[in-house]
Amino acid sequence: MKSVEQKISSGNVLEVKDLKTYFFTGRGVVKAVDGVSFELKEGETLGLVGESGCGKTITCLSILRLVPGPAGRIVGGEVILDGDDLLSKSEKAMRRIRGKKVSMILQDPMVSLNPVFTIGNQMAEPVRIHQKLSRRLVWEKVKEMLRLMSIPSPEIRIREYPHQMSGGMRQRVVGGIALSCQPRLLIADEPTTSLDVTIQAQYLRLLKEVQQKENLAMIMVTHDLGIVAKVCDRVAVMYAGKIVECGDVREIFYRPAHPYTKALLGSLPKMEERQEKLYTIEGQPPELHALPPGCSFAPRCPDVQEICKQEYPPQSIIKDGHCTSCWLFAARKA
Amino acid sequence: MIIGSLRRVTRYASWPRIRKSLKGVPWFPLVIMVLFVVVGVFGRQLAPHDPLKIDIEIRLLPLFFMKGGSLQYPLGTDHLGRDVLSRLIVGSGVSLQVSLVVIAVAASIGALVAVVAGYLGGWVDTILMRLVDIIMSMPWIIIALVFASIVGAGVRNIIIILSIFAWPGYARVLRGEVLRIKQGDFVRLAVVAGASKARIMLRHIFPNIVNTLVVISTLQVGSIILAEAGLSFIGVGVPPPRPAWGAMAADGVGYIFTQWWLAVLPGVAIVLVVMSTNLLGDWLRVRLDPKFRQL
Amino acid sequence: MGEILVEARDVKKYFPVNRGVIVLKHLGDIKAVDGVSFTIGKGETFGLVGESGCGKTTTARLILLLETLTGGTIFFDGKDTSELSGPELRKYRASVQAVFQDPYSSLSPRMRVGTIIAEPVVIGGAISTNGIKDRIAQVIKMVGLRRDAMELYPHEFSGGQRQRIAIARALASNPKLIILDEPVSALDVSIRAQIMNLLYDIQQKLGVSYLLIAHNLAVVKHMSKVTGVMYMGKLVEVVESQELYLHPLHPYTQALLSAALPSHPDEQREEIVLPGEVSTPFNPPPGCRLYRRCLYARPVCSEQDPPLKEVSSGHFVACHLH
Repeated sequence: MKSVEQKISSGNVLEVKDLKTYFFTGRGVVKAVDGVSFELKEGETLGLVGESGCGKTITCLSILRLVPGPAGRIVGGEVILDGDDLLSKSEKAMRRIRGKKVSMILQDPMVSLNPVFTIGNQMAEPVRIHQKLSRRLVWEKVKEMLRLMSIPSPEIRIREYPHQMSGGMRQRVVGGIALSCQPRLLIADEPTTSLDVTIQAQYLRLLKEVQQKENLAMIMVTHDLGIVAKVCDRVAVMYAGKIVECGDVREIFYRPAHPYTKALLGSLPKMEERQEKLYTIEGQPPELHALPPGCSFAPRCPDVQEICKQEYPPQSIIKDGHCTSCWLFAARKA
Repeated sequence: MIIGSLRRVTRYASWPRIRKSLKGVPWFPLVIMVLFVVVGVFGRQLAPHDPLKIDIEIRLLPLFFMKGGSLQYPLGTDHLGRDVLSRLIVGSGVSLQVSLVVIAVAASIGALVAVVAGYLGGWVDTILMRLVDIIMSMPWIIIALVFASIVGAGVRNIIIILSIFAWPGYARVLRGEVLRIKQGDFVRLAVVAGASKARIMLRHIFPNIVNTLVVISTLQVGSIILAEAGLSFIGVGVPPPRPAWGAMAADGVGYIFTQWWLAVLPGVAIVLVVMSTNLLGDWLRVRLDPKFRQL
Repeated sequence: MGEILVEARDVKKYFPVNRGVIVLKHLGDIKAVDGVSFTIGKGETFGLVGESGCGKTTTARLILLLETLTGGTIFFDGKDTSELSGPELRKYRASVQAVFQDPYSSLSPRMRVGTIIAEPVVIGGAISTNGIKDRIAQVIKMVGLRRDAMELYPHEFSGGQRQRIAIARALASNPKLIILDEPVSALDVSIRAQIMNLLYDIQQKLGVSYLLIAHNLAVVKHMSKVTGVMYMGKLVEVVESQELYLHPLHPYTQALLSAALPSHPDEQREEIVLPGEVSTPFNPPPGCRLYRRCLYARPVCSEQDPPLKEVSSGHFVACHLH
């Protein structure tokens, strides 16, 4: 059974099917992730785009089974990594997967690194946990990682503490830690928001290079469509806990289907054009504990119809690999 | 302005709001505290006997359920034949009075010093904070003994001594808060709007330390009561014959092997009240924290 | 170019670095802003870009009188700002307002929105209580908030709405200049455009000038007429925004532009990478600040500090190459 499944999903490092993560709070059930599905191949980068509170970070935490409890719980779906369902694994088995097969880069390198240990020590930790190597080999491995992340003079850096490095260098160290056990999947959650423009460009390029060298699957969580344009192969746009549109990066940028995607793209100021006013989406992002029935975007949508307020639209395929959940397209099919 | 704020209060104080804000209140400590305050205020009226009336005939009566005890004196009588229950009831008044006044005085001075030192910084900060260090490094029990032997013991003197030693604690904790709040953009914007230093301290900084102030005060009630009891116990507190819990415990120590309740009962009263204020303070700390407010 | 509202002339701000407790030993200065000159026209937007630590925020704080000048002069409406006092200072405070990046930190959590917005007017003291009420209602409407917002506390609003409150407060005293320090970078993508359009409309309607500080080049380009690029306390290039994008002259500007994120996946840009990293301008050596990282450095660059000079009409660059 298992081998059959593996054959079918060959090439897919990660498959997420109908993932649901809810938070049970005093004010009601918050459906932070509500039926999210996507897959990811080797060497591919998926951009998970959306505004704060749309569920993109919770989706990633759910893949690693790190949803903050006791309020948050994964209530349904499957997360299949190399043919294995992660949601049915024991906590002990998950610990062997985190940091080894799946690793993560977080937003703020100052918080991700422990200020009282040297860089070398912190980079060696996952290697020591997941691989049985001699002390000398661990150290060699750490230096190799520092070199991979283009950190100059690794012999010196290895003995330094986080506060002695700049933000960009610290984020490279975090990247090195994430990659030290040759993971299959790397989740980068807004890795460059705290970095300066030029440092951000360097870091993104470096990440891309390393990814190609190691043939990694990567999920890039971001709110910035510029980052998506620069590093992603495919894009999933999230709104209020659901993926509203998913497709190849060029499809999304040049032929966006969902009104929300169109609006996001339109609201960006562009360097090469002269505009007086920007296209805007009226209203505020919705509050997840009081979502309207039907499509969550309906209250802000310029093309809203009667049915949008009553029923959530089914997914419709526009082109191979490009799909969206919007009545505009569902209607066309029917 | 007063009418306006009254209207706001009435609008805010609707029943569902009150019920919501009382959600999760620790009931047992609250009941103890309410009892403590009521008894402390109306002690004279509530006491079944005159707490000062000496009657050698009935000295050292035991508790009512023991052999020789009577329901007329449910908690027995002390070595001079005074009713222990009445003395406990009236004695709570001293603890209440001392703790309330000391907290009011210490909190005001402490908050003032903290805001001024923290916001102005520089030499003002240095001088005020060194003063705080000096006071905090002094052995307050010894100073209290010396003070009492010079000007005599009494409730007023206890209040003075305890206030002097209580405010630096406030000042130190609150100054840290002020330093944090000072960094907020809204303070910077107030400067941009042309607000004077006094206005910024009063309207922008002070309202933001009130939560912390309330929490420290609640937690302090316990230690003030303990300090007052301690001073009364060593004899520099409330002079006899006026009843105070600490002094009652001290009187009872001589009879600890025969009439143990004489020392234990005031002790239990102190423990109950102090524990209740600490539990309430803890609850308030969580309740007033904006991070938890939505829960 | 129309009338000039603000003129900064050779503005300097040094932060001394001392060691010792009682006897202070002066180790040197962090030259956060070191000889910066620019002008802001009436009703126009001047943008300042640069990476963290380049001195753009310090420049803004100097104009807001939150810091005192180490050297140079800032003229506002022709008057030297360091000499203002009494009623003139109060008038200046009312004419120059600010909107900061973090809408959570910029509104006092214990004040009602109405009180927050009214504060600059109340302190200004020029209007009656009824006048203040009307004024608040007016600005609240202008920024697109509901009238009953006045009665609420800041924590009842989302980030975008809080930024609207901050803008309303800045507008309340009818200012001539508003300093916008990263006004949209903390906001969600769909809200950013709303706020940028709002700021545009306000400028069209009221003719107020903006000093816009941002690290996002597209935002600066979109909103400002003229842009200045700062690097380690120096203004290295000043030119009309469109021109800056099309023909950047300074090597640092070129690197900065090449690092900007693309607006679509096929935008191919050659990335110019400067070696090394930005350091703090602590006791900087003589010569150009970019000398050690510059791809075109020449011997003269390490000896002489290039002055900001006009190379073509309205295009100022501080570089020995031009």
